[in-house]
Amino acid sequence: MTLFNTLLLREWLQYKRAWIGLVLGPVLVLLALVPFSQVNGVDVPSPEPIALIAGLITVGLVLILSLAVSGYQLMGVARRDQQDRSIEFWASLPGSHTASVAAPLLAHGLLVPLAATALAIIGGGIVGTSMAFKEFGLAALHQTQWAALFQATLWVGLRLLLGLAMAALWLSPFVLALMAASAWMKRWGAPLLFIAVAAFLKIYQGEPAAEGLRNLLGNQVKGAGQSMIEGGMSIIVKGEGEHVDMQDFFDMLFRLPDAARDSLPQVLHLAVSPQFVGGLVVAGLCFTLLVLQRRRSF
Amino acid sequence: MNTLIEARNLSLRYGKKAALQDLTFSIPAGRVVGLLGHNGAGKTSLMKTLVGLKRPEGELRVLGLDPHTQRGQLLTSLCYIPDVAVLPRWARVSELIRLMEGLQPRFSADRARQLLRRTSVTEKDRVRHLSKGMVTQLHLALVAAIDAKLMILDEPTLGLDVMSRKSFYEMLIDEWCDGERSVLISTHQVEEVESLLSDVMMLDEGRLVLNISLAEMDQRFVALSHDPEAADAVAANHPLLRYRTQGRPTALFDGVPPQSVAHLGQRVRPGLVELFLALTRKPENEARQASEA
Repeated sequence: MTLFNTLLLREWLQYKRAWIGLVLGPVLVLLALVPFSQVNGVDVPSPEPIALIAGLITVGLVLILSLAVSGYQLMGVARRDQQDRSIEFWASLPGSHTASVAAPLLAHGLLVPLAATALAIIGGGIVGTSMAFKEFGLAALHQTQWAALFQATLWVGLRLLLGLAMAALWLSPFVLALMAASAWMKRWGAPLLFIAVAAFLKIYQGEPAAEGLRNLLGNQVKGAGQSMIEGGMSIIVKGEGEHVDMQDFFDMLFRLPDAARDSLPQVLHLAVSPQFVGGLVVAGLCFTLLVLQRRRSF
Repeated sequence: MNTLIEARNLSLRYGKKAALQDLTFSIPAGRVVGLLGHNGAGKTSLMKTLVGLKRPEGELRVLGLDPHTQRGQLLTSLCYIPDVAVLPRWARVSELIRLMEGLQPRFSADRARQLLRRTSVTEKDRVRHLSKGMVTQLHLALVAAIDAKLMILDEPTLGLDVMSRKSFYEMLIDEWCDGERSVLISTHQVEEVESLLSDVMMLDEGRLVLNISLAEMDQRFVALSHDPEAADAVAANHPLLRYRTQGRPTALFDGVPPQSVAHLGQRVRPGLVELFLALTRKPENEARQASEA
């Protein structure tokens, strides 16, 4: 096993219970709530919308939780082994400071959200099917457009995963800057950085430097957002009053795979921009600060 | 003879404070070297420098490599226990073995398991549930399973009871020292390790005040056990240290005692503790130097 893979294995061994709980917890809770759930206010004559929406709720919940947990973990990564002094054990083994910083960053910042989302899609399928079964019974499930649902789930899932990965890269300068601030200034680092930037933007509002920074930060966040949902994909279904227009719904459902597939290159195309590259440069500088802090901590 | 560590004019500073001052020494293969010094003498700083965690001034080669620039490569051939309390508390023993296999190419999981069978630690145990002595045994078992030429131990028995310390040293000597490998061990339990050592280095405020084999030490330093009535006469010849051995006043000299006092007592073997005290006690050293001047 390569050294870097072993450092990733370390993350799995240390956090596997939390990560498994992160995915299983919401799925099991939602499954437990299925018998008590009901669809109110909308007349849905077919199981497909129920399954899809229940599945999306599952995925959304797991995604939000995993991003929150990852964000929290990343802020503490730089100093986590210093409290119990195990950093000296890791430093007594072969492995560069760069790899030791990169491995948890990759694990918590990218791999965990991606894996959690991928597993949540499967979990969402189970929750969605359960919900549809609860509302319509077994007979209706036999007539469900499973192929269409599966195709839509597959391609939307792939689009979501790619979008998540690219969004992580778009947001990397923010995350790494906060991590570097936490590393150098401990628990006050991230709040201080946040307050400093906000204060600068507020105090110098209207000045070229502040407006320039505001635009840069705004465009970086916009890039992340567009990575997730750009491409003409939409899950919008119109209806009249309480009735879901099923023709509209199935049109959307059958369009989803192509729309998701078509938007994949658009996500990558978004990244071909000075804004994206500049963000990666800033992220790289912050990463260097993290490595430097680790080197100095002995 | 194959030299494992070669240092010339080694210095290290933390801001204005000098942690190491102009150290020059070498450690050949097959030696068990004790590194002695008071708190703050520079022992840990020296060890961190040897494993590439600190960048010194001067020249330093460890196993033929520059520890700072070739740290990754160096650590594949060297084992280092920085402190007994540093194993990750969340890990199981089996997980540590798995991680060591991936991180240390010269680590043998089978050898580690074999060494663990000498202890009361099992693979299912979690580090946080082990006593201090068991953590030490575990750490040594993991480190001794590395097929390395040099082992650096920084106060490995700190805080352990006498049985745990004994087990530690037995495992070290029985399972590691084979005449080809070298160990550099820093410790405050000077009397305990004296019988294990082949060489001793003493640091005092960052300076190397003594670097000698125990065989040479016996020849160079002379302790004279004398009657109380001869105390004044002996003291007038400025011994390095005056102390008591088995209730009798004893004086430690660097070299043969002067003729005027040699007949006043009988020669005894100086202990490492006495030598350590003699060479690293600051007020007494200054007074002695002033009187000699």
